[in-house]
Amino acid sequence: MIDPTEPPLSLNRLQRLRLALRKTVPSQTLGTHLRRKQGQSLQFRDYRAYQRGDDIRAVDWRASLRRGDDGDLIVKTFEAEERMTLVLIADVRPAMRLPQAAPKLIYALWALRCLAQVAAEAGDDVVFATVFGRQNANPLRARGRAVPDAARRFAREVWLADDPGLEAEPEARVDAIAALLKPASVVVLLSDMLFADTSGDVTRLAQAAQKNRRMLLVMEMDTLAMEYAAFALGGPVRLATVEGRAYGDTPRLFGNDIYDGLQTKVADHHNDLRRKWARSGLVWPDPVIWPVGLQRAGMADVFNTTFPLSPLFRAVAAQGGI
Amino acid sequence: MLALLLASVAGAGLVAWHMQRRAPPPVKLSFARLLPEPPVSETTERRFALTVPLGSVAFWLRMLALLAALGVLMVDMNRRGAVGDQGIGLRIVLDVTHSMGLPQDRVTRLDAARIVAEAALVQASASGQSVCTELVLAGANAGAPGAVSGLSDAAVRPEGGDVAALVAAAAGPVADCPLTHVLVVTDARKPALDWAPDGPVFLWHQIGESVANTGPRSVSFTPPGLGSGRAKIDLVVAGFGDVPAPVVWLDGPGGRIPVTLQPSPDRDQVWLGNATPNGAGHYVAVLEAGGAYGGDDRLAFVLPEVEGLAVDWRLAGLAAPRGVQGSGRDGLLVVDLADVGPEEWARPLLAVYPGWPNGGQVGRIGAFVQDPALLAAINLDAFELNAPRTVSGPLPPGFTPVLTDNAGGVYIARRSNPLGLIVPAPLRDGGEVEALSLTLFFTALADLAGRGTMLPAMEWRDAQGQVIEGAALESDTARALDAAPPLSLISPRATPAQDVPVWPLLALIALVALMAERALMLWRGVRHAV
Repeated sequence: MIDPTEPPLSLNRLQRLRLALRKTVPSQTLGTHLRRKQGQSLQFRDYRAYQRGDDIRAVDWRASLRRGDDGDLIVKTFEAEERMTLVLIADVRPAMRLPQAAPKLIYALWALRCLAQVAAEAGDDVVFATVFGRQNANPLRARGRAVPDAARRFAREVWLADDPGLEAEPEARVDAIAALLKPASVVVLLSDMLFADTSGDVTRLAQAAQKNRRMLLVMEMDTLAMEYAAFALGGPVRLATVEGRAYGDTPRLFGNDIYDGLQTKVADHHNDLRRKWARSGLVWPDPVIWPVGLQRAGMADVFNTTFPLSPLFRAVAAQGGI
Repeated sequence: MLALLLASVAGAGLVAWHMQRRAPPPVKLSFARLLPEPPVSETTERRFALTVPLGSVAFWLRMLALLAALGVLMVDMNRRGAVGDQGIGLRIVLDVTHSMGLPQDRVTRLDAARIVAEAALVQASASGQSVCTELVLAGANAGAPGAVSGLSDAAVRPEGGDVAALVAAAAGPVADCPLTHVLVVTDARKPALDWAPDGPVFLWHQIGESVANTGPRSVSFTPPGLGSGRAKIDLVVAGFGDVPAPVVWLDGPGGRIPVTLQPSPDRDQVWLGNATPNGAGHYVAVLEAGGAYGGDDRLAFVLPEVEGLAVDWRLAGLAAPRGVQGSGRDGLLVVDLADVGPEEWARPLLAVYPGWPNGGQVGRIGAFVQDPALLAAINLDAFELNAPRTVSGPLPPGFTPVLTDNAGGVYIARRSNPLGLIVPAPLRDGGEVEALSLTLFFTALADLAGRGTMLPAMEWRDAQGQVIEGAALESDTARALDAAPPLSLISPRATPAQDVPVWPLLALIALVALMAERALMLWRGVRHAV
């Protein structure tokens, strides 16, 4: 059976990539990533004066002789190699399954599995979590080679989960995620960023995700033009109730003015979120835009051409690793 | 009419269903929460605006399914099935009547027939084509088709049969094996058949040499009556082939009774015999040297106890004849016409009226009915010369004239149910008229009191006493032996087409149309969702 969450990107291509994060983000114990702090790797970091307690084997005798007669010894320091933790959060609101012709959730799950694959190649930890998901849904944690399989299971569970329906306003459930942020190096949020954060829970999560020099990367998916163009020229239409917004059974007219108003409201909404979320670690690049007329069959091409070049992917992954 | 009405209603309903124009489903937008309030459309569309569905593939598929389903319920037609592949469907009809047990070249006719059947099976198998076979055993009646493995277990049955059973077995209904060949193996001759020219190849293989045989065919019993004082047994014996004059005796109560046989004056090879039985009881007509077939040499029958003639004799001037015993109210009433009581008209009766002497009148016979039982013994010329008076007054209800004068007066009248005759009373004057009157009176009495000839229940037995049902059907063992058809005729042939009902095809069409409609709608749904 074909797995719809299987990313169309070449696995060979992903296997050549490694996580490439800022060297200042939090990390854990020994790993593969070079850090800016002193450690036990083979990567030279700096010279400094010998201090009591330093390993005598770290003394650079040649440099100490060049230092002269003051008698101070010079020791070499090396950078540390530590393991990263990548937190991948998917927005699973029922509205993410729209548009029906090319669901945003599919794109998000593809991106999630690609990022997880990159993290797995360097043995990093990955945490999979959802916002607006079902109640009592616990995040899934995996490390190294176990990550791809965990990512596949997580994506399938999300895609095959019962659809609660579009009508109700989704409830953000972020408590379980907040507890896992402590060892995280970077947090990636995959969403269309159209949700209502009336309780402020998501904003608090975003702010917490940037503490301790952590990074919060937002991957925004923009389907406004594609969805609007699909029906706006066809005459009056009835709108379904979505996330608490009801339009009744009366057909409505749509024109450019409505679209302009929509863009304005969405921009205001995003600006409001940016303002609330803005901390030192927020990276919210331009969105991935759905082409007008996109169908399910064309999603793979769109993903292949947009995701590897997206600012988010380039900000996280690099060939050869670091 | 009902079918037409039902079909019309169903078809109209389907068309009406398709002529609706349904509102499209509401559009789902992921950004609907942030959408500015769009203006309401002023134009309204009718929910049930009519559209012509002729361009809808789903409509035609549903219409096809509907019509086919109605056809399943209402059409009672058959279609000519396709002609099958080249192959052999062989039905073997094996005669297992009693004569098949006759010896034939150190075996029996049945053994010889079995060899022929096995040879036919080998011939069919040698064709290399698909072969299906079945075996039908035919005795007095045709059996049901079975497997040819039953050939070895086939045994002669103690019963006779005729070719009608064989033909019925050959033309019996076809079950799982489409027939291309029918082989009948029997010792009987092939009858004239109206076999369908496009039906299976029909082969009649006759076995058994022609051998002479004799057998009793039937027996009849005549109880004692007024005309004959003793009971009588009549026996018919038939011979087939070159046979000597048969010798028959009866074994029964009182021992062996010889039967006198005379050749039939009008039929060859048939002898008629009679004997006087010794009362009621079980009898066996035994044929001595009865020829090749022994199953018909003994004919057993039972003679019933016969009571004497019961007559209620009330004629004062004439005594009842010997052999007649008096009875109460049940027997034949012999009485003067004037003395018949009102309730006695319902009894069988012989009523006499005073016709003689006629007082010198000269009568002329008028219209009369041919009634040989009554008038054969009467010379009508002598009767006319000495004609009696006619019945005075009207005839009693139920009586019709038999003999009248030219003036319409009735000399003799008869009633059929219950039996009744009105004749002139016998005259005892010693003259010429006395003989005439007594002859007429006693002829009428014998006619009413006669009990005819009885056919007793009979059965044939062989020398061991085993009952052979209908053995007389097996007696003709001297029939000509026809040449056997070559078994090479059992060769591959296209199995014939058969009439098959149409409704399964219509049901299949309905099912396929429904599945196609569902698949179409599913495909459209998936495409819409994608």
